[in-house]
Amino acid sequence: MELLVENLLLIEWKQVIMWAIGGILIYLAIKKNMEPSLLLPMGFGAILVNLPLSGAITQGSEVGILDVLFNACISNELFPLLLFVGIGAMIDFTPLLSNPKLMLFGAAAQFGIFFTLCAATLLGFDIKDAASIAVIGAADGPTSIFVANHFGSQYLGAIMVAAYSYMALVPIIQPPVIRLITSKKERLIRMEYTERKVSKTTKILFPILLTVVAGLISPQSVSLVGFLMFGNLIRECGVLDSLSETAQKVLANLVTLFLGITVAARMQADAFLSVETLMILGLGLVAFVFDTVGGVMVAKLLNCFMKKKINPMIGAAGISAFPMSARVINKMGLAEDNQNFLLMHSICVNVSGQIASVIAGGLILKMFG
Amino acid sequence: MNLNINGFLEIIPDALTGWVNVFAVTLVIVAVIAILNKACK
Repeated sequence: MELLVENLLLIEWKQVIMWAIGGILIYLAIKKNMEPSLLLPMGFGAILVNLPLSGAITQGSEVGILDVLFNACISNELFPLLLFVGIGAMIDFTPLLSNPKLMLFGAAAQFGIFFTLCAATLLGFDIKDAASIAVIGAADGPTSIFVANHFGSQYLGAIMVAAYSYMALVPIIQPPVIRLITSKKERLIRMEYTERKVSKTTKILFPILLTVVAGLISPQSVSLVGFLMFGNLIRECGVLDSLSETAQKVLANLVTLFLGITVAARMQADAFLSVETLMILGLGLVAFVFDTVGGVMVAKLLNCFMKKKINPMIGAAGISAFPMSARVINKMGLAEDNQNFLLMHSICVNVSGQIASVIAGGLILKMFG
Repeated sequence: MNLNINGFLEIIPDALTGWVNVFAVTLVIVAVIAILNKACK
């Protein structure tokens, strides 16, 4: 009997809190459908690694399987990059290629990253941790993991929880911010959409040239951009349909399956339950809010010089959370005027945000790496 | 909690440069797309 209960006596209150946090993540994944493919494994993993003397993580000389997975697949950046191949294969860049000017809003909406970099520095994080936290504003999980891991941030678990939670909360975070900084008249601006035909050659050359451009400007980011564009090239080349399908479904699902639970290796109570974690969650929200502000304000600024006015709400779709952000903007446009269809414009901006977020992550690596 | 005012003031120019650089790279990509669209009709 003593043998059976001795482990119970080792339970610490911090571990019980982590079980509760794990339970909340699982609840949000199942009941609220918030990024379930990541939050559910992370929630389960949070419980798994916080059992007393859990064999899933390294205890003394006994190596735990989650640490093996972490060292083999995350600390060398393998998982985020493989996931990028799948994401690249999923993205159709046609709306962006037919209307490239809107790509500026993708850049504008990275403002939250740089604002948060300043805020995190002010709060006392060292520059590499501040940069890792700031990249939550990329609204792009793999980029956040890649940068945080590259900088060896001790806050990887908290950064991932914040990144994926806020991505799922885009429909709640963005609308009030947009309403606050736009007038009704601006929200009512209608935009015509004319899609230009994009040739197959353009679609094939785009991922290759983008990789070359990004690699020449920021070599540190070339693996991020390169893997994303490799996935896209497989999609667009037209001769690798089965590989494209595998990358989109099997590869992305397989990596996602292990990504969340592996990151949970960094959610042990002693490291996770800290004031810094709370600050990271707060800073993540700041990043998303100021991404939205950056995109909208640049659109408003451009409207001062343009004859054909832009609905500034589409600027907010420049964050990388695809396609949620585009849907939110379209819904907001229709709520103001049931004939104001902004979906195609916001999809275009949203796709741009996916590229811009990777570029921003690469530049952060170059600046502080 | 100790606020790092000096670090904050030092990082502002870097942050602004970073954001401007994202725009610069984006503009290059916009130009590449425009050339591609013209060259590959």
